[in-house]
Formats: sequence, C-alpha cells, structure tokens
Amino acid sequence: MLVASTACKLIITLYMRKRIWIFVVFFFSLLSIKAQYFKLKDISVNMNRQDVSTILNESWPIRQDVGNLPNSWGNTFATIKSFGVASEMFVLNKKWTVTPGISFYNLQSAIMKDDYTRGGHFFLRNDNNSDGLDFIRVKSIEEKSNYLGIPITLKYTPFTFWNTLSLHAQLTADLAYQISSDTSIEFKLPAMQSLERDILNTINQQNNPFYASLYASLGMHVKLSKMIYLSLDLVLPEFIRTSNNSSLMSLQTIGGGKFSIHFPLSITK
Amino acid sequence: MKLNIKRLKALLAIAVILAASSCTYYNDFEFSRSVFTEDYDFPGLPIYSELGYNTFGMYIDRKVFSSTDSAYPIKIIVNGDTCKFSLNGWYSGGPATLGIALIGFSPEDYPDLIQLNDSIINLDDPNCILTFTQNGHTTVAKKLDVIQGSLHIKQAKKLYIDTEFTRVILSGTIALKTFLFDDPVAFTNGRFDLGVGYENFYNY
Repeated sequence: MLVASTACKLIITLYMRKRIWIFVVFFFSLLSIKAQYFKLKDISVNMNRQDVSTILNESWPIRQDVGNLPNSWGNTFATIKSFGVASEMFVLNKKWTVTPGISFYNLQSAIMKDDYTRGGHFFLRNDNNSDGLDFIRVKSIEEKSNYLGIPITLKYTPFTFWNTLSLHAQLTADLAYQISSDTSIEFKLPAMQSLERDILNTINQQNNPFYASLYASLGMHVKLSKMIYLSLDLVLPEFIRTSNNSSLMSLQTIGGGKFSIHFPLSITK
Repeated sequence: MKLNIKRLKALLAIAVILAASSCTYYNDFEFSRSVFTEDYDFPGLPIYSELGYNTFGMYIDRKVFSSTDSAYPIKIIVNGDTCKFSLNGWYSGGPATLGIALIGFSPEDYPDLIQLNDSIINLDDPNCILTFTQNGHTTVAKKLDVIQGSLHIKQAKKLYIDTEFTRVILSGTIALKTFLFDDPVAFTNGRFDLGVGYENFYNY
C-alpha cells in the first residue's frame, strides 16, 4: 500500500515537472529556430512589476463585503512580479524584433482592513462548527503563487536617436504554469492558528494553475556602454488575462513597470 | 495536604463548569455593526440573510422602514411574563420603532432565544401586542389593531466568535396588515437578520 502510494506520488511529481519542462524546452526551441529565420540581437535580464486592481471573490465566507461597511474596510491588493531572461531577435528589419524568454512569475494577493497595523480584523466563517454560526477573527488572508512560463514580446522601434536612445512599443504575451501556491491566514488570536488548515480545507478555494496575459507597453532603450543597454517600459492595462489566478479576488492589471538590462551580441559603435 | 489539593481540584472543576455554562459579556464592536447589502429586487431593503448582519427592513405600504447603523436594530426587553422585541429603524424621515410584545414568553437570558428556532408567531394573537413609535416631527406610540400578520423566525442559532459563544442570531421574515394613523396599511417583504447578546438583551 505504501509502495503504491509512493509510486503514485512519484508519477504525479514527474508529470507536473514534465509540464514545467515543456516551457523550458519550448523556450530553447524558439532560440534554435533563430539561426534559420532570425538574427539574434541580444540577451537580456528583465524584471517586471504589475499593479492590479482587485475585486473580492465573494465565495470566500467573509462577513463584511467590500464596500458594505463604510470607512473601515476595503483593502484587497495584489501584485504580479516577474523575473526572467530573454533573447531578442531581429525580424524582417531592425525596427521589428521578437523576444522569447523564460520567466518566473510571483503573484501575491491579500485581504486586510485598512487599520491592519492597528490590529484591525474581519470575520471569516468557519463552517466546521455545526452547532451554530462560528466566525473567526482574522487580520489578513494572503495567497502567494509562483509560476514558470515563457513570455514572448513583439517590439517595434520607430525612433532611434544617435544610436544611443530609442523609443519603442511592445506587445507581450505571457504563458505560464503554476509551480507552487500557498494560502495563509493570520488570525487575531494566535491560539486560533491551529485551525488554519481545517478552515482552508473546508473553504477549498482553488486557483487557476495556468497563467496567461496579453499586454502592451511603451518604453525606451538607452545605451549605457558598448556592452550594456537599459530598457525601461511603462506597462499598460492588459487586454487579456486568465481568470481565477488568485482564489481571493479577481484581478485586472492597471499598469506597471518593466526594467531590463540588455547585453548585445554584436557590438555596435 | 492531599485533602487541600482535592478541594482545589474540585473548586477548579466547578469554576470551569461555571465559566463554560455562563453567558459571555464579550461584545466585538465590529460584529455589532450592520452590514447593509441592498436587495436589488426590493430597493431600500437589506438582502435576506442568516449571518448576523444586524439589519432588518420592510415596506410600510410603499415607504421603507429599515435599520440604520446608528442604533441597535433590535433590543429585547423581558419584564415579568412578557418579552418585547423592539425593532429600531428609520421610517418616513425619522427614527421609528416597531414593538412586538409576546405575553407568556419570558426567556431568562439571550441564550434561551434558541427555542424560537423555526417558529411562527401569529401577530393577531391576543397574547401578542404590537406598537409603532415614530419620532419625527411628531411622536406617536400606539397599540396596533392587527388585521392579520405573522412573524416567522426561520433561524435562531448560536453565534461563536473565536469559538466563544457570544450571541444568538435571529433571522426570518415578517408580514403584517394593520391600522396606522387610522389608515389600513400593509407591512410587506419584511426580513431581519439580528444579533442578540449581552448588549441588547434586558431582563428586569
């Protein structure tokens, strides 16, 4: 029985890892076709942060709904951060490039009241008690999810000044798969912490293991030295996003920033 | 010495039993506030709920009589053999109270309200006295002549906060036809979801 259970766990683990490796293999596949159709421009390291507007997922058994209790409630927040490497390639001419990459995404979402630092709390219903209504005082609920994926960016650079500064517009598609996710509850009374797993199991809210989005950004590319270029981008609200990437709330990107360092492969004067 | 320890254990056991059986005086301020979510189908009234949102609402003909966030929406006063439910809200531009007094029902303390679970009270029963008080430009406190009506307490259940029993939640519906200022009126679409605890239950 134990052997069978271990074997099942091993198969599931390998299966999950296989899904993640699909992204890695796909990334290197994209790199391999460049020799035939594209000309490699540079390798870059990038960091991206997107701020998100949120709406509480009402399937969580929280007593006070956002907006229904004036002046004391309403802080749901989420951020999407990513870190990755990418290789930029010219397509057709020097104004158009395509950049496949591989990125690690971190999505954090949390619910807390605006007086959290002063001990503010709200009420989470614990349906494990059949004797009546059972509410637990909670200071915050936080969910952290990590994804591994492949962003692909199409960039158009209409203006270049003195071979040093250029302005561009980008369209980026992200496609990622979840590698871990954890939800934690901070209780008002530390003694209640022992109920955390039971409550989360009863609520049983799952988030979407697939993450995808399509968004545009505007930015500039600056030459710092022959070997290093810097890119700064203003991320615009996304066009498309997969739903339920946070079980706590629905997300809508309202903007963000993208920072990347580029290492050109052919040195220009 | 052994005897003393035994006595101490006995006293401790008695103290634990008393603590477990007694009513708590704990009142979480946040929980005593109202969570008013408007019913889209019945404008001005709160949604029907059974979660201790501390709201009630009904139409008196076409005007809204509903709870506010400034006063306890319910106070229960037991005096002798009579238990009076006072629903405090806002009606026609001023505070108003609907009183429902039940003769022959006298709970000792708020945990005893559990016995009202899934009960229907006929409001035209002689043992049920209704009053309506309006404090706007004028004050009228009058016993109502009930044509017909019923109070359905669908749920009366214990409420725990951090696993500690703190109050009883009364949820249900109310409908009533009576005379107000000598005019026949109907109290319709009435719903309530009210918490009763140490702070709004009186027995004297």
